[in-house]
Amino acid sequence: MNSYRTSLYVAMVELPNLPTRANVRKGVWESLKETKTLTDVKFVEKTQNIIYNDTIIAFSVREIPDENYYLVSFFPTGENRSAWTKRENIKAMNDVINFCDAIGNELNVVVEEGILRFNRQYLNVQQAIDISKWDVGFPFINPPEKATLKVILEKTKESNYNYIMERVPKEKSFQIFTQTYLHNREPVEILNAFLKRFGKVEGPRSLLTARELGEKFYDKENTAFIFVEDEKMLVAWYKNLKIFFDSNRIATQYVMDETIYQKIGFHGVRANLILEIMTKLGLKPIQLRPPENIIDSDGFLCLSSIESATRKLFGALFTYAKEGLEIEEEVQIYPDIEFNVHEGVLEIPKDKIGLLSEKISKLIGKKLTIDILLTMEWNKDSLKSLVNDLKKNGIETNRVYYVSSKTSRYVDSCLLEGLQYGFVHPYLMIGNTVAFLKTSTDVRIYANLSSLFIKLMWPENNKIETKDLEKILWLVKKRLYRIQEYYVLKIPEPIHVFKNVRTMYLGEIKEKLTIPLRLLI
Amino acid sequence: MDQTKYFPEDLNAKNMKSLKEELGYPHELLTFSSKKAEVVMKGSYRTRTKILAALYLSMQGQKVDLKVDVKNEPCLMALFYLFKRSKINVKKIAEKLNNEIEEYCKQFEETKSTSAFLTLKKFVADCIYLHSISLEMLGIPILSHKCIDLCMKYLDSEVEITSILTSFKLLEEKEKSPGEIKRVINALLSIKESPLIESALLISFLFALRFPNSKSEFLFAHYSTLRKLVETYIKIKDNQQLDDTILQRLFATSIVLFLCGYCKSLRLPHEEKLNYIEKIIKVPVIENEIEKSFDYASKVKILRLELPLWSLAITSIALLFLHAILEVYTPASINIGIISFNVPQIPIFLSFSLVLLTFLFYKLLKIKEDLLKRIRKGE
Repeated sequence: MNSYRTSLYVAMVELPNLPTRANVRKGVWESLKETKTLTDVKFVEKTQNIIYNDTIIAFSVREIPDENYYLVSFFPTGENRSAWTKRENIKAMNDVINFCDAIGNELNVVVEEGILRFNRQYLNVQQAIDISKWDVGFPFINPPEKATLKVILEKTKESNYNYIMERVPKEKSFQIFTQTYLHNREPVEILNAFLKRFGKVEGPRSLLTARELGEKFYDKENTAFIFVEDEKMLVAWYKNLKIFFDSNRIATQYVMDETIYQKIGFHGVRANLILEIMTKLGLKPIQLRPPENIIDSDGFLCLSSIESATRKLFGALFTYAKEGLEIEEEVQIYPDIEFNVHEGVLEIPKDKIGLLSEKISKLIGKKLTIDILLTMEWNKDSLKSLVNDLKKNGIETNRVYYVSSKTSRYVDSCLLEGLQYGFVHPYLMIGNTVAFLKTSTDVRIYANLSSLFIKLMWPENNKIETKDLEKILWLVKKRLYRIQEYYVLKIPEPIHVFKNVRTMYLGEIKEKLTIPLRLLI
Repeated sequence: MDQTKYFPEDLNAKNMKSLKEELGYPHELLTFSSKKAEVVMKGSYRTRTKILAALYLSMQGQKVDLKVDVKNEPCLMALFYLFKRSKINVKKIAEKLNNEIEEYCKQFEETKSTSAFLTLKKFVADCIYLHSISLEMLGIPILSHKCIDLCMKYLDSEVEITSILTSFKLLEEKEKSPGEIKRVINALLSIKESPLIESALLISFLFALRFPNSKSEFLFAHYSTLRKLVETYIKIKDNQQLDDTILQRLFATSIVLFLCGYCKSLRLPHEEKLNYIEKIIKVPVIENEIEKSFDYASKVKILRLELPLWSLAITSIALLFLHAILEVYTPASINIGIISFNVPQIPIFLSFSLVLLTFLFYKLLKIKEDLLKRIRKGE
């Protein structure tokens, strides 16, 4: 039986009072320093980091108060970590695992209230979700086809992405805009030559005419606006104008000149680009089917706060889990839902909860059973009010999950010891309501080294089940249109969408804003 | 309603002939569908696909073991109970479906949202298909009159749906004016979306039975719809990775074709049936069936020995040769006891040869009749 080491430690608190997080953190730090097996380790007091084999290791402490658990997790950190290469990420992972090996399977932490006995957690292949047989469909080819996920990805690899490219719908049109490359058209020409395989390409037109054309364009449903610029110009353009095109329901794609020069030659990059454009055009060339045996609701409602320096907005999106309803999935952003965040917990005044549930019922309709995904932990009373108000509006809440990619981040050895590029996703369940799910099966970028933290928030006193994790995993892997990155996909699509929303300039919103979900992928 | 598609211009001899020639494809489609349904029952497919496959196979008399969880989806439940041929449950679920439609209408009335409208539209389209097949299979309507009126009120902008709903109402009437017939035919001809097109295929056929005076016009609508559907399936014959969506359509079409009687014998009055078999269904109809029937009809049974017709011809030729080389005649006089008489001398080989040739001609003349007999029996 295979089990894989992790850098997560869990303690069941058997003390009269739950110690504070600060106290536990202090206790862990002291305990680490006193661990005799930790040799060749440097403790940095100021940051409370550990340096082991040149890798800086941070640790985090988190409590699960409802269930009297404390978690301690170790994770690599360092400067410029988002630019770490695969090799650097693997080394960092290895060092953290070896560091935990040196700590051992037990870590006793002394706090004011007594001793917390932490045990190291192991991932077990028996506790894993195998998605190799999930169905993938190509609904827009004639005749529509399907195969299992494993077969699709194997054929994609064998054919150098040709298998996918042959199944991309054609006869759409592309309008290219640029300012920098109006005269020196090299990157535009390269892109043009590629896009021509999938429809009519026009341009390049001046970037300055894009907004005007967007307002009056006659064939919005079938046309994608493609912007080719250098990074600086593109970032500014995206931040300010993406929202204009999205609210006008025009599909846009922002392509950096550097990407065209350096990466467009790669088959995987090409496949990602065209699949994403087509998905934005509402064609979904490739679709991971929701497994019927796990879907027990009509869809997933994702609620997220969107905070910037000047505004506090609130967003809601609904994604359907049942097939057959060809209804445009939408994201709505509300400026009139007030909320407060205290110690990472979101609270909404009661009258605003009523308003929110009314807005939700208008967004998704009635007579539905839904699962809710939260990007932040909610105050229990606020959540209870929301569930009750939704019920009054004809919406039944099945389950509510809080999903986080940054909570209690730990690394594990399963990708280093055989599960790489696989379809088996191990998980860890802590108590009745918390689980960690390994969504990535490849080591590539720093952000995807850790597992996803999932907490069942509703119904109270219910146990989180494998089925719950399968649902979340479907939401993660349904971003299959990012086929080149399939193995490293980590975040559920709705949460990823809100991540994208936060990068847009939303300062001018005065009333409800509605954007098709497909444009924000 | 689109009035530009009026049929008489199309209904000339040439078009009718080409339509008739295409009628062989339904048999191919049904055979293909049976094979696919068997694959679906063993493989990993969506619940809807499995129930439709099981329903189709059960209609063909096959025993199907279906274990699915239809949860609380009323449309799937209705299909499942149709598969089980449970009249009581179909009646119960029909009531539930009508209530659901009412609630969806209410929801749309309150919210006026696109999603509420699309949900209602999709749900009604599914119910229309269920209504068409349930009426034919068990004689139980799914949609009540009140519900049909409600759907027509809220979905009046959806031409295809309202056309079918109007057709349901007209099917119950005794007489119709030529103007109405034209309108119904034009409406049925304009339907393209699934599962409405499958319902239109069945309804046009039912109209043809219901109104004998306008039979050819309604059959034209039926054949035209059939042609549209068959065109979809010709392309998929060799595809091994068919998606559930297309398989669901395939089975939905096959169920309707079965109900129209394409599978074994047409569910037409006897005279009409013969007319159909003799004049309408021609070659590419059932190539395999004809071949099988031909094999059967071109054999002769002598005692327990089954011989092909050509062996008779060869034997006959051999006898002729024998006659030419060696003429053998019957004896001129016969004496048995006290009885003696003279008989004419008959060439034995030649006579046998002539008898065999006559039998051969008789069999050849009978082949057509034998073939038709076998096809009619559905053997």
